[in-house]
Amino acid sequence: MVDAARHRNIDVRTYTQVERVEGYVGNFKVQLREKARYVIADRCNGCGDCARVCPIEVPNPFEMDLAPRKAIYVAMSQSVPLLYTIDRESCIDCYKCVEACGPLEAIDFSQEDKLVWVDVGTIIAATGFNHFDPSVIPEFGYGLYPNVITAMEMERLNNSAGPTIGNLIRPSDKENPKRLAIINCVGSRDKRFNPWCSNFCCMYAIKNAILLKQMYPDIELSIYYIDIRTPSKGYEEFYERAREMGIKFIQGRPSLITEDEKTHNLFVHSEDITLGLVTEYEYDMVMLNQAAVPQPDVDSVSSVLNIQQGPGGWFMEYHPKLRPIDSPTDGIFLAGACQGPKDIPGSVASGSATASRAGRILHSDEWEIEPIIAQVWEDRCVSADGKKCGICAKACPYNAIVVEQGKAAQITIAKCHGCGGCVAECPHNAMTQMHYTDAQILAQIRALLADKPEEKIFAFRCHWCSYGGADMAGTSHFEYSANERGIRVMCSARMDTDFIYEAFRLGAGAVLYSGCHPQDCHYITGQQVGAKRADRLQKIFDKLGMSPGRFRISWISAAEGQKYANVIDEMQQTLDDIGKEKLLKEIETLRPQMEKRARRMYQVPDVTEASDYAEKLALAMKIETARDEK
Amino acid sequence: MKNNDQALTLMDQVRAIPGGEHVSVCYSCGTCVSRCLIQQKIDKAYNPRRMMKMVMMDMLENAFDSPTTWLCSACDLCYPACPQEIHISGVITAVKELAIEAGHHSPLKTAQVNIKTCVACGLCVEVCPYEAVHLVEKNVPNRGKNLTNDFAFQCIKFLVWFQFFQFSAESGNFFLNYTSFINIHP
Repeated sequence: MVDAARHRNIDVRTYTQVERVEGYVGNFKVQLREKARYVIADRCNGCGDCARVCPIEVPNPFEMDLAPRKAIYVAMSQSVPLLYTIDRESCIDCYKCVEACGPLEAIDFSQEDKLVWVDVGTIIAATGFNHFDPSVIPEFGYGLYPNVITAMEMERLNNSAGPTIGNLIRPSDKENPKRLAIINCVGSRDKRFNPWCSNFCCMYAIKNAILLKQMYPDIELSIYYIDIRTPSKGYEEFYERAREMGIKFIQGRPSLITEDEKTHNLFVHSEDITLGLVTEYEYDMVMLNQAAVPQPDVDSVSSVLNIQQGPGGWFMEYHPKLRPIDSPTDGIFLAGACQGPKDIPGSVASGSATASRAGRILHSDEWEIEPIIAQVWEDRCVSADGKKCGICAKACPYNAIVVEQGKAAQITIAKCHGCGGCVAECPHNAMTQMHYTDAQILAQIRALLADKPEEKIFAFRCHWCSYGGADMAGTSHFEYSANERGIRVMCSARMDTDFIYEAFRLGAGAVLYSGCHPQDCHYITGQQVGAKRADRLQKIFDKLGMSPGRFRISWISAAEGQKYANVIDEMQQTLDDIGKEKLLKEIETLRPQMEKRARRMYQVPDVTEASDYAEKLALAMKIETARDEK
Repeated sequence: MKNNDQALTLMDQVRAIPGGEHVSVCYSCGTCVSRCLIQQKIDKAYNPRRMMKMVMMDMLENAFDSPTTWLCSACDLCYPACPQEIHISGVITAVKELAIEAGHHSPLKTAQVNIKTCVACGLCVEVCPYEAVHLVEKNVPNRGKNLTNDFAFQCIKFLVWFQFFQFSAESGNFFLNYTSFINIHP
């Protein structure tokens, strides 16, 4: 840490908060709030004279409130940089610290929060995790019984720089405990609080047990666990060493802790599963190995950095297997336990990985991005005529579009990931997506529906999930109706209403609108844009009197091949139930409506030529099949 | 591992009954067992955790013969403590329903109604803490008869007894006595 602070390229800013992030990969602008610490950083040398004279004592959160700290304080003696800070909420303005500081004149009560902008190339989020407060679990009595302590409190009691100078005592009578129980999975693997496994607690419990056994050889140690998880290198051997040392492992989650009122000893009630007996053992002290939970301000940090949050509030990576340390925004990376509980080797590995990934960007003058990006036809954008619109900017999950009145919408190319949400949302067809233009997609629709369209089930699939699902159905040999015809777009957000109208206008029997599940979307909120549009379409079709089931919305992930096959089969069943004659009649009655609604599409450049070409192609295909049949 | 030839496993059947849906997520932590008063005060062989496992392993006969199936009073002490939020008494009730369907009977000796003297006053329905007694449409000869003082006195006496034995439920004996007045619904 000291090395980092002294490095000429590293600027350590403590007591500082990120307020805003603007720009894009390689060119971020970050607004920082440097909070007032009422101590001038350049002058303070960390001597601590001020803290010695300060008359105010408040609980020290670094010591888990087991020891006091002064109103002018450093978080811990090894803090880097070693700068004192005044806690103005508890300060009584006696100015004794000013006197003690003397000629250094480092204390300045008139300081205020400063807002500064800094230019950075990449951002790494490494905000870490927080500890679960076990007092909300009624059966363990934390906060009620003095001798029930958390793992962090144990860490301070056991630390040679801690409040007891490393002497482990129990809070009720300051005696050394002779019998100690460690309870795992407190608040984790528990659907009432946090369903996840906190990853490191098993090893942490074993480490603490071995450490205590070495310090106090006559201590009796029991670890209560549901499962002991030792998946990494050397972990199982460590677990074995603990067993060899005589530490008792009891499989069973305690259901209740009760206390002897006189001695403050604790009784832990649990079933010993391996014995099949209900046990009640007496202990002097109980340590709760609490769950790892996201930081309390995780929501605001995620909105500032535009990072998606997964279940529970942990930061979501771009892809859990292939891009585990990238956030969905280029140039922003995730390191350590902000992503989910990680142990020390895991955190170090992810930190080093993000550093090298960030280094790649910082060392290159140019940065390649995917070519599938959105573009604006400036002459068609109504915003250029001074009208209020901005629908595209609302649809963009990456804030890549800026709309100013009087100017056409501007796309920051480096921010665009190519979901196509803006292209499909634009009511004036003023946008296009490279490699997925309206003309190209319409040509595909026309070609696929050229022959006997009323028998066809037309599927729009998103690149990441439902296309993969269809693929999975194929590779797993799940059988489904052969009448299915599908095209791929990048995201369900790209599935324009025009495409669906056009498919029905051409006489498609049924249309499937499919994409990722809401939480799996690869474009942050792309699926939500698509889902909203699909619901709107469904309502319109219901109103027009379309038979239910002809337009179907289904969210299918890449692993759900069976579901894809089932959905297509169900749609085929619907078509069979309606019957061919009724279906043809319905298509004819709805055709003018569809034509009316899709009319704007033809104003898009290249669409007419593309559809002409598709028709020619279809004709050629028909002639060819006819020749083959002959 | 019996009944493998059957189309539905025991777990499927239990999960189809309301209350038994979440049985498969049990990871055998034993919280329910050490919470249970029946286990601690009445029968050591009583074990909800094993019941979950029996359901998962499709041990049909063992589950139906287990005291766990029949002794659970659905007091739901375990439910709020279960980290997997399984409604344990719901699962046990589901198993009990299946057992009764399969022709098994409760090994507990239960009370019965003496139709000859019952007047359908409903006092027993009110006092039963397990809602096991119900008034049903049946041809009861004494229904609606004016109670003699004697008869009313007997009913009140019975009420007092019942409450007394409810408090001494630890011994488990109250099931065995007083079989002539009420009918415990299976």
